Amino acid sequence: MWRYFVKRLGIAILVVITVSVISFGLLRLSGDLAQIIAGEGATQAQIQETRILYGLDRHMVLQYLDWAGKAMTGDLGRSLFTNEPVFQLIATRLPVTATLAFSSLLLAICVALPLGVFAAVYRNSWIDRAALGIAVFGSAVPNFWFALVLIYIFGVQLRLLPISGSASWWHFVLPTVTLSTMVMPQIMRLTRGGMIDALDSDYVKMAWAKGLNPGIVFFKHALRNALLPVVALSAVSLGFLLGGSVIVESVFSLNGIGSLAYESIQRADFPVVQSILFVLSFIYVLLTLLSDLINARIDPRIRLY
Amino acid sequence: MADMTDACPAPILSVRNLEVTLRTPVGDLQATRGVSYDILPGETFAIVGESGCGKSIASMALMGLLPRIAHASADRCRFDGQEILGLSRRKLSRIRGNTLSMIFQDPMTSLNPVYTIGDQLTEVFVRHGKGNRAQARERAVFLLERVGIKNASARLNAYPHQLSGGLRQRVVIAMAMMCSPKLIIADEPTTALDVTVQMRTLALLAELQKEFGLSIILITHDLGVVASLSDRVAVMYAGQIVETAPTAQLFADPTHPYTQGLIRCIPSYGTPDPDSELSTIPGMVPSLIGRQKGCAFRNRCPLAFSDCGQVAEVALQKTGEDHAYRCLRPHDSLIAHWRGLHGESV
Ligand SMILES: Nc1ncnc2c1ncn2[C@@H]1O[C@H](COP(=O)(O)OP(=O)(O)O)[C@@H](O)[C@H]1O
Ligand code: SF4
Ligand SMILES: [Mg+2]
Repeated sequence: MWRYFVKRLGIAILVVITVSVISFGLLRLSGDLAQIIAGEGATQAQIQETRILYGLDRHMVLQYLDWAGKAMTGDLGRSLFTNEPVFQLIATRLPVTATLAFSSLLLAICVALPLGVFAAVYRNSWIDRAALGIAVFGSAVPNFWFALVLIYIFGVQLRLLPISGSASWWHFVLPTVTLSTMVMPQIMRLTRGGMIDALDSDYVKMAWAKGLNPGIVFFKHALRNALLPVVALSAVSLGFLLGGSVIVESVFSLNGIGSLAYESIQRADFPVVQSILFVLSFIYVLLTLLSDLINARIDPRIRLY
Repeated sequence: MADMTDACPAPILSVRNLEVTLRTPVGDLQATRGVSYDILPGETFAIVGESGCGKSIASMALMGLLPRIAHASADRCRFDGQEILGLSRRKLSRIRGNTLSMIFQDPMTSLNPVYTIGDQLTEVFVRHGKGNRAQARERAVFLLERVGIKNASARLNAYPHQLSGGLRQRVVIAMAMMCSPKLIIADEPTTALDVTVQMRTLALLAELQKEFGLSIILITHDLGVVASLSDRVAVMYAGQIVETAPTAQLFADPTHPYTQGLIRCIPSYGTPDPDSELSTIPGMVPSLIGRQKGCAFRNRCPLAFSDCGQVAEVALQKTGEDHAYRCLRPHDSLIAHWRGLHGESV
């Protein structure tokens, strides 16, 4: 178990370093930063001065090491636009997006797991077909449209729920429902597929032959085996939700990291864009690591490697 | 319907006319037809036949583990004094794993990979109210040691992937024994194992059977396996029992042409003229879809004649006390054929 953990951790660290190099490199390659920072109409002398001021005249490797060293202490530089520390900008925006992403994933799992299990147990029944229908609907309907429908029904007509801002938990209900439809169908289908494989397996036949109760057969013997790919997908989905909530954030006027990224790209606020990219990848790697560890707990065979 | 009139002890399992139909997309498949047998306490009853002849389906029907597309019916299917075919799932689950247990073919897949073998052994014991966890562990250790697993109490914490195939099958056997069953159905218990491990596993089963006085249904496609292990044999072909006899008698006087063919395929029983014989019976098993008339074996039978395709159904003929075969030919000519093949007079 420990060897497995150390190995995973090593890989995770390598991935984080690689990603940071790429995100650093991409932004440097996208144009002359000194010119962008100095602004339009700046003279050559001013640009040169900016370049020296920001240390952009040094070798790329030095610049990277400088950036990485600071990043490790939490110093991600300052916004070119507001001059606020990027760390603080992200720290105020990330909780909104994280709340949204976590609650969406939680909702998606709470719906998808039972639905997938039932669809597999009652294969080809109306439950299975209904679940398939929901999955197809969930993947086919555009997010913004679904969001608008929810706003119309629950916000405008029924006046049950707030439709913009992040002042209370209630404000997160509609965005969460909207966003969860982005990942719910895949989780449901994967659960169903895994359960069907497990239910057809010899060890489940054996569980029946032992006279075990259906609850034990389905949830102890089948589900645990079906869960492995679902855990991995959930981790990937969470990363996806963290980075992919821009539309939902803007429809519901939530000031999350998605809208921050969107604004910063528009303003060519490079330190912010780069840091968001880095922070999200970092979280993504952490989530993958977490899912690997959970899977190692679920499946003893994994602990060997 | 001939009931048990003779003075033998009451059978632990009595099956009459078991029919299983599978509703496949291409039509109804008659997986078993008119299967009848009795199993006495403490005996090993072998069911032998080529792959696909309905051996597993026939036993799954007893366990209530048929695939959804299957429909089973029988005039009688009495286990331990109770009709088990139409039994509710709830009532059946009290029997399964308890007085009636099963060993599946592949030990690599019949243990759940994510639970320790201790967990899988003890859960069946606790489920059937035989005792608490501690007692279950005690019983598990006892049985693991009995099936020849050393260091048993430490092995309880092992996961299936940490054991070899032969050991896993021993675990499965121990699992089947946890609740002291009266009957174990072993469906090709050694087919997935190495040849050397096969014989040891079968010998173990025979030992346990004697020691604990249980009955075993030993399902196999290999007639050679049953010779030393079973008390009686039923030979199945295309969903029907075509011959049933005490094991010694079946090998001495194989009557049905299919049985004769199977025996000739056993290497150690060799044929006197190796050039003229194949190691398998030539031809293919007929499709079981739709009810066919005539003898199902006629397209492969060396003794087939015109009537074989004409009759609606070939009835089971009794020959002797406990020996029956399903063929239109008279007993004498079948035996003569067998002796002729061997060029000997036994
Ligand atoms: N789930 C199933 N669906 C369709 N046909 C099946 C199924 N299981 C078994 N059969 C068919 O039923 C017949 C008997 O199968 P089985 O009892 O497994 O044979 P055996 O155990 O003797 O090898 C075969 O013709 C097989 O193709
Ligand atoms: S009935 Fe005819 S075809 Fe069938 S086994 Fe007897 S001789 Fe052969
Ligand atoms: Mg079989």
